[in-house]
Amino acid sequence: MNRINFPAFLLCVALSTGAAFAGSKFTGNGHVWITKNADGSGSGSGYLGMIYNGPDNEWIGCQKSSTNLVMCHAKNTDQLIVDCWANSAFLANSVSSISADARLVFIFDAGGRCTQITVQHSSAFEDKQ
Amino acid sequence: MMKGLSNGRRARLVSAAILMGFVSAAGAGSRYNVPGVVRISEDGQGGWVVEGTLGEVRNSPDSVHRISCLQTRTEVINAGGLPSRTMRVTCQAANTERAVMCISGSEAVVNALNGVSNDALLELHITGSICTDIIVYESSGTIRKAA
Repeated sequence: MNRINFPAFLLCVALSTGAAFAGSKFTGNGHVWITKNADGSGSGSGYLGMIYNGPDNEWIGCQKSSTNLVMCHAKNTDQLIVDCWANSAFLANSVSSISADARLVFIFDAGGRCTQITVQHSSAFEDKQ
Repeated sequence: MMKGLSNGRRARLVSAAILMGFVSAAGAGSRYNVPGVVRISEDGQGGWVVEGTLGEVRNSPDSVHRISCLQTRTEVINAGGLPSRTMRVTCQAANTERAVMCISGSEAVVNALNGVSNDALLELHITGSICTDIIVYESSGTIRKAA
């Protein structure tokens, strides 16, 4: 019933991680990726372990406070920095799930408010060394 | 097999299964190995139970082995100041015999991944294409990711 087409599954996995098919290891560069739209909205994403292990001056992260104040920020290799804030227990739950090797994506609106946080855990992701 | 069980009963059975997976390593603490690295077994009711640790699966020499969960929370504040919230989790796993994936919008299921570490054991319960339960096991025995 829930068996799926295996080649299609592997293609889906490759596309979801932004890499060419790479077996059980993610082989992309894992760099911080920042988008910024004309209206001020945008996003930041990256792979925490790969960024930590890499040689470049870039970073990405999120924090939450006891009052559920959430902040996410990132800097890419072009030294572009973005950040967003939200006062949300709902989004703070996403920050709770971030681990040292996770893939993190955050999206913010034109007002700089974090509107979406995605955290991915995978056996394919490199750990901090 | 476990679908009809209460959460407490299920948790005890899971714990017992996990205890059986521990083996002693020479000169080191006990290690927990999942049979087959990624175990995807039928639950007896048409669904699947998936088990794998992020570390052991990554370290596997077989490039097919994979286990992954992605969670997304979205919160948009409307003009009236009211929040609109959605959440979704998508999990995927594969071994040499099969691949499965599941999704869920259940807050409880999504929140089960809160605090998951980089070497956690993930146990997925799947009915159809729905993740009906996600169990996260953290232990001294779970194998950490190698470089």
